[in-house]
Amino acid sequence: VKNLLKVALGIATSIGGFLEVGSISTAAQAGASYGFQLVWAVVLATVLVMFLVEMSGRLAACSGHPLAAAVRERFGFRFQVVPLVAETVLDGLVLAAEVGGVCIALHLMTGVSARWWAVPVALGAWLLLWRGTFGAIENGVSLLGLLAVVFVLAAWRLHPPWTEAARGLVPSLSAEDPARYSFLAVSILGATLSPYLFNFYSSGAVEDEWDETHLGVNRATAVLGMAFGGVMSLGILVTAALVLRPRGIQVESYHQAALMLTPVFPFWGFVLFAVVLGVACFGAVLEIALNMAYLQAQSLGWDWSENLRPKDDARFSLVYTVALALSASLMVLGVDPLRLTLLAMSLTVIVLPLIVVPFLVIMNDEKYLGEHRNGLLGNLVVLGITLLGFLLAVVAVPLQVAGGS
Amino acid sequence: MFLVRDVLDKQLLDVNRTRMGKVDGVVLGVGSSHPPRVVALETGPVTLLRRLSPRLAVLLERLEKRLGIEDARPLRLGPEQVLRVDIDVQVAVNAQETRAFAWEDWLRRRVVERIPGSGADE
Repeated sequence: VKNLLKVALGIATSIGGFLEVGSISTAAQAGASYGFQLVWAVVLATVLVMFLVEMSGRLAACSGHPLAAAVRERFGFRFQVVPLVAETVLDGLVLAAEVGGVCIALHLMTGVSARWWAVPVALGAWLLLWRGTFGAIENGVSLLGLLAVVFVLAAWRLHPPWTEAARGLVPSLSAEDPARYSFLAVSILGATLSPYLFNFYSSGAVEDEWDETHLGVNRATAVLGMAFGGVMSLGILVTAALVLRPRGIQVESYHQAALMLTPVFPFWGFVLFAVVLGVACFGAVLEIALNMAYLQAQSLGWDWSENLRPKDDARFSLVYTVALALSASLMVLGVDPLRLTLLAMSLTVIVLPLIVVPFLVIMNDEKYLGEHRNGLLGNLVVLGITLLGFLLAVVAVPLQVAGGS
Repeated sequence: MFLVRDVLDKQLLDVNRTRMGKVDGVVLGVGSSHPPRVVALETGPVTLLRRLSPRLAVLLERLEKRLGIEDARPLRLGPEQVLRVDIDVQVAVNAQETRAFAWEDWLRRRVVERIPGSGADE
């Protein structure tokens, strides 16, 4: 029973970590602008994230080394410094976007301008990291993250036309504004595949002292957790397609996105959207800030654990402190969180091969994985989708930037 | 064993398996009577940065001097101190008794312990 509980908790954790500002806003935009046409992008991204999350957990369970540490050890510092810098910058942008998401949620609830919330939000997150332990943070984030199930409920109650939705499983090029359509597809991939997720997950497995007996738990968590997470993203996309699209509402700000729940939950819809957005983004703020500390510590060989008190882990604690301070200042300066999110998501896809290719090499290294090395199928699926995403991004991002959004 | 593949950039563990940095550099000794041999493994931010840019490493060294972290100069571990080399490199020292935590100690004393709730007052 205890083991079953563990699996359930693990799955809840990964669902909770799945939805954040990126997946909420990209799925809402996709549904509002293109109906069910981008369902395939959510499904493809979910399959890829399942494979990658399973791999990062397996790496940590078999070798005791999280992803960032393994890349430095296997490829050397002169190579690793490139993905390290890229991921640090990306994490910083996404962190600022998530802080922005929480601020917007608070703004929707209180009417007080979002910029005023940046400092209190960052301070609150910092306090939790400074005082909290890994387990408390992980479980708190995930249980609250389950609130996002309201989107699935909403989609269900709107009685979607299933055959039409299923047709979205097959990729097709949209006739209206194909540049924006491809850009959104790229953003959906980027939102689901945030690099912080893999490193955070493998760091968590090390924090929880996984070994080879956890491989089953790991597989169940990765597949079921990510599948549920994907279903929630689809819930948002379908709801947006059925509520926003017929009314001609394009999601250019979170105020417009917040309307999507009102037809289903007339009185509470607006507040509910704000609460889910706020909770999901706040969870992501904690995870990303922590991941930035993990990245530095693991790359440079420091002793690290969120379970140590700050005085016993000074460098580690200062990394997330500085990261939170910088991201909050971006928001105070008045950067638009929605635009920042989309920028960060599309950059993610461009950077992704730099992170995934070394990852794959390590997953085939006997020294780290022993007999649990990757199979051919895993290698091919991950490499294929990553390169596909990269090609799409290289074409779509410049088009979108040139066209202006 | 290949130095670059099997030793450089590996995680350094002390006798208690505490992580104490990575193998940031390998020091070779060249003599006329014998082939080059490993004199020491080095760990420390200056050694690491020197591999990217010697100029930045000099700047970091100056910064350490100005902040009074003299102890931060790279720590050298002789080959006789190496216990084990696999995906980690374990050495027969107690990290707390070396310079490995110079920056950590400085940041703890000068910054972290001054922030409430760091655990310093417990």
